[in-house]
Amino acid sequence: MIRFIIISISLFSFITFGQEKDKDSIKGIDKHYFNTSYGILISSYRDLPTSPLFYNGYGVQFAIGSTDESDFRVANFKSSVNLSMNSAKIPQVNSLSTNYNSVFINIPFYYDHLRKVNKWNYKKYNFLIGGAFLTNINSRLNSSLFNASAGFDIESSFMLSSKIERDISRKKTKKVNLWLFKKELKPKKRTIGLQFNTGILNFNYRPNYTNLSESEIDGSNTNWVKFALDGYKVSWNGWNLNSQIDLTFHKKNGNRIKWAYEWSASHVPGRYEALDFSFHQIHLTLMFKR
Amino acid sequence: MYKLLFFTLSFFFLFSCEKALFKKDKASNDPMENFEYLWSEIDKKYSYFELKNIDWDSIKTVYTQRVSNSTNDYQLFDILGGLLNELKDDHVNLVSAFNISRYDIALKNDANFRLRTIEEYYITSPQYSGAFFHDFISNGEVGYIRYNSFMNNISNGTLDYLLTRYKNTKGLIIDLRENGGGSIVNVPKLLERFASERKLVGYFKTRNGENHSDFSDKSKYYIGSYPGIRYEKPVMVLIDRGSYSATTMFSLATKAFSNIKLVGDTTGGGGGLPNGGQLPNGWTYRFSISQLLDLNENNYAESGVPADIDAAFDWSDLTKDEIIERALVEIL
Repeated sequence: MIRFIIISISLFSFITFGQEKDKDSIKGIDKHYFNTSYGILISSYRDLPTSPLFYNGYGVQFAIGSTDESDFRVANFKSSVNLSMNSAKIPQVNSLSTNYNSVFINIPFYYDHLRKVNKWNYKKYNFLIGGAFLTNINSRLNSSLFNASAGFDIESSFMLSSKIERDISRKKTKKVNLWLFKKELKPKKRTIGLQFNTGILNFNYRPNYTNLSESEIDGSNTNWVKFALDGYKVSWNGWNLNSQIDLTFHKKNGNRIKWAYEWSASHVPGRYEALDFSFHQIHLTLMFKR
Repeated sequence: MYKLLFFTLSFFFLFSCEKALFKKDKASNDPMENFEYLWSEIDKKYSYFELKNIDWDSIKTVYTQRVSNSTNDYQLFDILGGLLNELKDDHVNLVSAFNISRYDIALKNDANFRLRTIEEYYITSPQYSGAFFHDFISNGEVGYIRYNSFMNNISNGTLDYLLTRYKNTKGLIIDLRENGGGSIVNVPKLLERFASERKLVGYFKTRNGENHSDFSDKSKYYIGSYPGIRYEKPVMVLIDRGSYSATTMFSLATKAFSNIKLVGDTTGGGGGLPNGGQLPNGWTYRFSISQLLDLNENNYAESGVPADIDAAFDWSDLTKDEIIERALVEIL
């Protein structure tokens, strides 16, 4: 707990201090965006207390968020819902077999704050470094697991975050002549970025020893949420990695369109048995200037 | 140089692969691996080893000898099903696409319920209200309510209707024979209609460590008193060996009620909450991970809650249900 408090205060002090300094130095040039994202994803998870098998599947992502940006810093917030239909990866058998399916719901809340490191910048490259905070609320529904058919847990990470950006704008008009197809490509502002986040302090809220337990039952007045979460423990362990490559088109009206490929993976041991999960996502983000 | 660095990193991140980071995929068809996995999960989490005096290590020795690399899926299913049946627990099952293993306590004991006898000789024009089958019996002096599964949810509206309909009777018979259990949410919903005050009815404890004797602290189990329509006259609850799981829980809780008596045979048991899981080959299983204790912390629910009044069905006369008759004697 002490470790959590110290690191939380340090991280948020850094962010707050950074913002105050920026306000003085870049007054009036901050840009604010409201973002919506739509994506498709491949997910994979393994919840060891109930199954040694990986459940792989496809799904969709919806997200809203915001971006605050100046010449010196950028801060992003994103709240998403990742929903996928997964199937157990079972070995091939010679007997009658069946499919084991589940629904995997992942709700991440993500915030990062990156500062540009001017002395590392080179020509068209920008280097940014900072911190991020990610909380994943995970739920899986798998009717074949009887009383353990619904799983739920939360994992959070304070992360170190770094990003490289490159300006790949087309500065001059360019003519394309492909036999029947002729087009004049006008100047466009574009950037490509590569971001990597790694968890430095990870904690989670996972089920108890037997995955299920029985807390006090008080007739019809039983608090079933309390009953279901009885025995859940907070643990300080695991790892969390996330990387993203994105291509951003800057529109003349100040809005932006961003295509991104994002990969994330988490290992959440809890106190007893681990949950592992990962996502490969391709998403389109529409960024509206406020 | 920077371009090269950028694209090298991009390539690396684009193809980042969690499989190199996660522990080995445990999916396996190997008979021995599946046997070991199931045995070990039960060893770590099953709740009734000590109470049932089960030597799980010795059982492993016996069953290991039956498994080899040439064991096919059907043979493995029979071996694992046999291993599970050593626990003598109907909350223990192995489920594959081609079979489900079960212990079936009810079939190892005498049957004490025949629906046709009730339909032909007691309830000839029943009402079906929600989860219940019911009517007046014994010249309208007693209400008979059949609830065949705690899987069928109970609504307060239905209970209001039933208890209003039977409010002028001398007593109620609630028939829970062959009720194999279901949702524990329905236990207090029904029972609180017969409680004049909130009462402690028992305790739970859950396995919480690798030793067979490792359990959590006891959690209390209360039944409240419903603030609306209640029935506080005598209630006879009919039970038999087919009354299992949530029905055993209901039966055990009635021991704290002075106006409720259990009539029939001991329940089948099933005091533990079953948890589910999956084997490396995909088959699923479940087994008990907790214990249910009575008010005095006696631990008999797993082997069955005994009736307060013993009665048995006489199969030589199918026109009469002796258990209903015994309940009527108690009410009238």
